[in-house]
Parts: sequence; structure tokens; C-alpha cells
Amino acid sequence: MTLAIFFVFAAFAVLGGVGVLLARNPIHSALSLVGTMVSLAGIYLLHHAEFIFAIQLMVYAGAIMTLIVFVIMLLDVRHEETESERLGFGKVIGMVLAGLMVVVLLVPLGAGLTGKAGGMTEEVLARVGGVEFLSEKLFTTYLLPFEIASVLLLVGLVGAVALAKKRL
Amino acid sequence: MLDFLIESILKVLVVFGVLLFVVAYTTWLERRVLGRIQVRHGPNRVGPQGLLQPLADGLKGFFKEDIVPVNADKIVYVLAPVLSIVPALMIVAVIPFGDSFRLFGREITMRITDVNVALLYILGLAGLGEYGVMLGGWASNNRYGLLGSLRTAAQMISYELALGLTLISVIMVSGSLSLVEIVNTQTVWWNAFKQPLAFFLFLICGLAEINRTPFDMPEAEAELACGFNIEYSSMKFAMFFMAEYAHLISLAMIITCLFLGGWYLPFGIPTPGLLKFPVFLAKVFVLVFFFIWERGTFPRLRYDQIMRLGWKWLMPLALANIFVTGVVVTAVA
Repeated sequence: MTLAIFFVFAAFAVLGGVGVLLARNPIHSALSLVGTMVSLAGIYLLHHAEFIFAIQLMVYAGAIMTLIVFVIMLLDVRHEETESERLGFGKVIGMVLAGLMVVVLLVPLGAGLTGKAGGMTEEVLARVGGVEFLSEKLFTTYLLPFEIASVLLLVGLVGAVALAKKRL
Repeated sequence: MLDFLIESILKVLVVFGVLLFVVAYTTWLERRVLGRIQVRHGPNRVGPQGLLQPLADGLKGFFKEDIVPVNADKIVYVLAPVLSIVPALMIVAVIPFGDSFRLFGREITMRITDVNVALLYILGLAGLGEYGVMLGGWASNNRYGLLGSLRTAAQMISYELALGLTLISVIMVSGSLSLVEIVNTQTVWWNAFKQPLAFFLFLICGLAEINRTPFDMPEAEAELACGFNIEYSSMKFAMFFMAEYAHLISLAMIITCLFLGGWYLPFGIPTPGLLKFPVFLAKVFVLVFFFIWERGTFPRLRYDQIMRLGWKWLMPLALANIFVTGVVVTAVA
């Protein structure tokens, strides 16, 4: 049952990803990306990561993609410029990297490697609660990285305002 | 497993049936009350007191010509109303309408599901709900429509921040993200008494999130001639319309759960089991009535005023509220 639902979500995620690449219209690309984000959120939910599921919906599918769609609408890019069909340097590099990615993904399958089970199984998560567990870890063990990430975001925010507004 | 499936499917059917019925009659209530406020009758011809008006409107929606503008982006144009109504209906899945009751020897809880991140789920769906309005205006290839869409995007992003920050202070006093548990912490003192500022801010931001007067910028009949849905007709328009009212009702239910003690009477007055659902309904009705009332009373704010209010007043106030709540919560504990 769970596996079947997983494959449905996975198929939609892949379809969305393909859609991002193939769509000629930037808005269609952005919408496909939203589809991928929502499918990924569904997969997180299947793995009992309710918090990550909600954050994925809220931050990625909701906030970030809304901004991207907003910008595309403001710039009014209707269709991407027809590129030359010539095999350029960039395309060769891209193809080599994509090929390497396929190899990296296929090797563990061939070697029969599967994931390693961690300590946070379904039962443990149901007992301690996903959100409580995550927040406790974030504010005790991983406090410093968490704070540094916040400061980094703040720097980005201030930088964006400084760039956008020449005269405050 | 089978029991669970049947129970869930039945609940889903009942909840959505009732919700759509309530949505239809909220439109009737709004038109009648607005009529009264503006010293006119409102719909009173179809059935007694115009009670069959929603039915007539629905039939009309089905039989009207369905127009797709020539230069519209066909796929997105058709998709937009669906993207608008689906998240609006999905929000109801986590809202508790009351406690549980026994039927055929089974304990039946009055909610579809109780996920422990209900609040975040609601915020996530609210974020997805923006797409319908944004894409609808863009896809119809109409300038008024596009302007309406851009306003929606800007307004919703701005007010979602203040909305989320307001929720944090509620979570801090309740200590949970589950709506059921938040309701259960309010048996004596409602959160509206513990967090009056948060209640006030949430009400304002909620109105802005559902594009309700005085924040109905995306539609703004006078300047944009209805904005994002200008090119929509027949059932596609009806879907936008239904989504709007579904949002209105979900907002009323969310506020009831978060701030008005859900199905509990105030000040610790014991609530008998049979009265719980009527108490919940009464609170939701009062809020819906308030939303209609303020629509008939307030003028629309200007675009820059809305932005200034959101960023320079509501957000700092919400942050200050979190700070004060934090100090008080640590002092008490």
C-alpha cells in the first residue's frame, strides 16, 4: 500500500522534473517545479516526517515558487529564445555531468547497497514527536550551525535590500 | 483497517457535503445582510426569502457559455480554478468540529484527521491557494487580470509573514501544533483573552490572506473590473467564487479553534457533550457574520496603504508580541 503510494508520488515528481526541462513557457516550467515540490512533500509524509512535509509545502511549494512565478510574471518572459541547435561547449559539459550522475545513481543499485536504518524508527518518532525531537536537536546539539545559518540568511536579506534600494 | 477506511470515507463525504452546502448558503447570507446594510432587499424572489437563490445560481453557472479567450494559455487557464478550490477544501481536513461521540458502539471523533502539525499544514495549503488566483489572472492574457494577479502575489506574501509570526505566539502559550490540543488548552481562558494582540493581528492578516474587504485589492471592482477573474465565466468563475467562500468559512473555523476555545464555553463553564458542536457552530457563525458586516462597512484600502500596514505595523507588532509572550512564558515557568 505504502509502496504503491510512494511510486505514484515518485512518478509525479519525475514527471514534474521532466516538465521543467521540456516546457517552452517559463510559467509552465515553474508550475512543473511546483508539482515536483508537492510530490516530494507527499513522499516526506509517507516517511512520517510531518514537519518536513509541512515545511516543504510552506517554504518551497508555497513561498519560494510563488516568488519565482511572481518574477516571471513581472518580467513577462513569454517564451524562451530559440537557442541554436549547435553542440556548444556548455552542452557537452552538461551531458558529461548528467552521464556521471546516472552512473553514481546506478552503481549502488548494482552493488546491492540499500539504505542503513537509523535510530529514529516510526515507533520512536510516534513517541517523541517529530517537531519536538527536531527542535530539541536544533537548539541543543546543533545550535551553532543553526545560528550561523540564520545569520547567513539575515546577511542575504540585508544585502538584497541594500542592492534594491540605492538610497534608503 | 477496513473499518478505518470506511469511517474516513464517510466522514470525508459528510464534511464536504456540509461544507459545500454551507458555502452556498453563505453567499445567500452575505447578499441578504449586505442588502440590509445598504437599505435594499437583496435576493428575495427565488423561494421564500430568496432561500433557493444559491440553487438557481448554481444552475445558471452550469448553463452559461464557457468562454476561453483566444490568446489565453489554455492549460493554465483551465487549471487555475481547480488550483484555487482544491487547497481551499483540503484545509477542512485538519479542523476539529467538536469532541467525539459514540455511534454503534464506536468512538467517532468529529474531525477527518488530527495530524500533529495541523497548523503548519494549514499554512502550507494557504501558500498553495495563491497559485489559483495568480495564474488565473496571468493565463487569461488580460491586463486587468495580470494586475490583479500581481497584487495578489505581493499581498499574500506580505501578510503570510505576519500571519505566521502571529501563530508562533499562540503555539508558545499552547505548546502544540495540533488544533485539537490547542483547543483543549482553552477550557478556562480562551487564547483570545491570553493573546488579545495576536487575536487582533490574526483577524486582520486572515482577512488579507483571503482577499476580503478591506483588502480585496486583487478584485477591486472599481479599478480592475474584478481583476484576476475578469475573463472567467460559467462554472470556472463559480469555482473561484466557491473557493473564496470556502476560505472564508475555513478562516472562521481556524480562528474559532485557535482563539475562541473551539467547542468550549468561556471561563471554565462546563460544556455538556451535546452542546459542544452547537457552541462551535455558533462561534463560526458569529465570525462569518462579522466578515459580512465589515465588508458592508469598510472602504477598500489603497495598494500602498496595504503594503505599509503589513510590513511596517503588523509584522513589528507580531514580533513584539512573540518577545513579550516569550518573557511571560519563561517567567511563569
